[in-house]
Amino acid sequence: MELLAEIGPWGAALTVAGIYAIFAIGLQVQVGHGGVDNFGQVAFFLIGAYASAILIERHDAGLVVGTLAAMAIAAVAAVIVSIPALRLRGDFLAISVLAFGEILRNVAINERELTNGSAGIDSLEFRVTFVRELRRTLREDGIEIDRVAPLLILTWIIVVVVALASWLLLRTPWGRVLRAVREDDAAVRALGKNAFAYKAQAMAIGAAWGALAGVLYSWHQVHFSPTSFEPIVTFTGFIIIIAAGLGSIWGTVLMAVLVQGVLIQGSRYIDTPLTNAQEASLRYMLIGVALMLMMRFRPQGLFGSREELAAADE
Amino acid sequence: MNDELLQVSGITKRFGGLVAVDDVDFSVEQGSITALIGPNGAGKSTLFHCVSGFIRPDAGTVRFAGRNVTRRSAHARAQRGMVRTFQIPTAFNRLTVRDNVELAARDQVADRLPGAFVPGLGRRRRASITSRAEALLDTFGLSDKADDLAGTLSGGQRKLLEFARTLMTEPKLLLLDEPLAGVNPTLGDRLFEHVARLREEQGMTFLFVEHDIRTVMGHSDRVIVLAQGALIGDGAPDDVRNDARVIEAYLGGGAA
Amino acid sequence: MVVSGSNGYTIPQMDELAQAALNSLTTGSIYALAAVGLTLVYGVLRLTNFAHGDMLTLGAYVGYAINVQWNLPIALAFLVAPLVVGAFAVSTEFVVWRPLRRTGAGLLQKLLMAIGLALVLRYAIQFVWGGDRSFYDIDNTGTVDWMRSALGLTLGYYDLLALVLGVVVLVAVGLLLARTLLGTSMRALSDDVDLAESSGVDSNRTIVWTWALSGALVGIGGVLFAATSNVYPTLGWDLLLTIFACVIVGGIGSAYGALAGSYVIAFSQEFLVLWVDGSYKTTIGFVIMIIVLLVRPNGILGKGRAVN
Repeated sequence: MELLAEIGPWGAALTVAGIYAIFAIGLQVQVGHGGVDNFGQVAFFLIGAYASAILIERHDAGLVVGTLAAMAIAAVAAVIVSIPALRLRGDFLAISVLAFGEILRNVAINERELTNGSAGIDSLEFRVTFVRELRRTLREDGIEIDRVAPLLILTWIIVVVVALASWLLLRTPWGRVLRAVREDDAAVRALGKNAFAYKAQAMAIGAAWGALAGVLYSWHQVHFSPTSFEPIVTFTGFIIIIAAGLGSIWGTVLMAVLVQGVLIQGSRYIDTPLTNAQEASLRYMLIGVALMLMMRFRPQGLFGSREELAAADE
Repeated sequence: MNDELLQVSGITKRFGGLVAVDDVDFSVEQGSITALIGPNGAGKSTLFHCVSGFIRPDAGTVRFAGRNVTRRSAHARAQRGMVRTFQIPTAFNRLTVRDNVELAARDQVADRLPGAFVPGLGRRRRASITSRAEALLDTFGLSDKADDLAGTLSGGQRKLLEFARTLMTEPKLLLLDEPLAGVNPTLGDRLFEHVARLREEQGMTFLFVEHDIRTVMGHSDRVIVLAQGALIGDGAPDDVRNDARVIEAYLGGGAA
Repeated sequence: MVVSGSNGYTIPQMDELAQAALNSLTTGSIYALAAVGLTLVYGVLRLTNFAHGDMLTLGAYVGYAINVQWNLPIALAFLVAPLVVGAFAVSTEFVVWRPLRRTGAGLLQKLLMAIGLALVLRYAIQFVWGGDRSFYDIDNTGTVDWMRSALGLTLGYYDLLALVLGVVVLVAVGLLLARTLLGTSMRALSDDVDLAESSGVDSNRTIVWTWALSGALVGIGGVLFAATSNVYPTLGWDLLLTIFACVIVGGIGSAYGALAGSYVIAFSQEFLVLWVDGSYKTTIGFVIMIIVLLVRPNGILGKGRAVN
């Protein structure tokens, strides 16, 4: 338990990495298995963070109920978005769902009564009430843990649960039909299966995972604002799933740690003569360069096969 | 006429100013093998898409097994037992040959979402699906390929796989879109042996589209001829072959 | 969406409507400068260039460097920005797009490549010029007098410039597409690549010029946008979805469609903000885009198919 007494910045970095792992597994279900190029996954991340914070902080929904409700709202939103968007061809679909995410961010900025606008909103229940209580109880038993330890542990338990659940689900006959839809949805329809429903369900499940990541993110941040929900979050997720290889759930977990934990969060602790703003710009450029290099040289991921990506294009 | 499995009436489909299918009526009898033929650009494919639900016609109705399915989606029609194949055989390349066939089975519990979440649900159904798929793969000579990815199959094997996959859905009416296209004569004969056998053993009904009038002669017991979107012939193969309008359409339209 | 309290529930006055119409002409011209380039690249390359908005930002900052940092006349910006952004666009063809096409890249791969390029460009701009909002060193408070006295409408000098320059440039592009070999080649490639190439169209050369034109147009658009309002690093990205809306409403791949779509979107935004909060301008654009995608997926003038 000594280990958990002082985990410092790497604990926070690993928490964020875990959050991105959950977010990207959602994307993996949608893109890697369902073939839906969801450029708006950050929308569900946003729904998770805001819906849970509003329900838990203002309506005393409790941590568990607030979380589950946020996931359900995101899943329903995903189905509603899917109805028009899934009719569209590839690039139009991508633009439309990207626009959906930007609309939600716009709403979060403007509907001040609901979201407190660009000033942001608090999510204190977990970090303040729950963690304080937990630490006091443990201290009575002579155990000291770091403030960030409970969320770190909880996040990684959830990562394992989400990864396992997704992996098992995708191995069922349902997952098999979903992959068939990705390859050729007309052929699936001809067999009497509702291809649209499969895609929409993949969207909903991925959205629920995205929202769960959003809930954890809000607990990690304690206070957050609409700037945390820019499209770059989605594209960081894409870097993770492409690096992992489309379709690979466990690879996604690994890549989330490498990309988010080490490259992005870890690089914050490297000293440079630059200002913080310049460092932030460089970090984002790094994301862009990573994406471009991967698209050029390893579109199949670091371990994956090229056909996975080709199949995703159908 | 209660033994008409499929009744198509007044189907019309326009693309812009072009009338691809013009007020076509025909029906397919239970247990028959019917060929739909016509020269290039006759509107066969469009009509076929309208029947199978992949294109919504501008006018007309499609009745299947006594029900109006005109406004039903393609997958809903397939669920009712009207299942089509494609001109270029489709295979799910990244799935194994076995999975390609198994996934097509109807009434699976675990291929729908709530069922998929519950481990072990529908296990007995799954066992019967596995053995039925096994039998179909055997019939079509694909058993030793069962665990390979479908993407590794040859063109002919893909055709057979698609056929096996379609049969897995337990269709009442099989719609075959140019089953002989890109197929060598031996394989073509084999396919139609299966067709004849399935009609014999299971009373299955077939409607297939072909381009060439000669190839369908020995394989069908009724021929419907389409030219420039309209129905110009309907009857026994020999009668149709000698019909002046049909000859005219093929010589005038097809040969030019 | 909330109806704003300040002027909601009331019927806008005539002069408000006239002012909105005038504003939408200006805004529409700037949108059109961006939208035409985006749609040309899509037409010729079937590429949805997510970096197009950030090219607009680059143009705006080139103007900023000339006008503010080097203290040179703004007129120079209108010449240099299109050259710089055009050159940048052409360089992406050689460094990024041509090599990627050779790998036989699929849709997702191309989209993500464009996103990566957009990020690199945007944050390189932010790295160089910082994240703050800046203004050109020009007096853009001046308005056209007779507009004010005769019609009671406000038209800034730079708004007028945007309107006039926009129309002049777009007419020139229209002539280029209709009358020159390059225009013919571009239209041929948009219709059918194989057919165009077999009829002797030099596709690589046409593609390079398409990029140059696309970059030059959006570069001018960037300077005009910054001159009539302000400049910040995410300017182009924030505008990008609106520009997509213009392109899609008009029918993707069609230059005239993009032009029409730009004014449709600009009019809708300027009129609807009489009732809806101004911060929802972008949202209005998206919503119209989504409605058009559902009702008339090929856009007003488009030939391409948006629906499966």
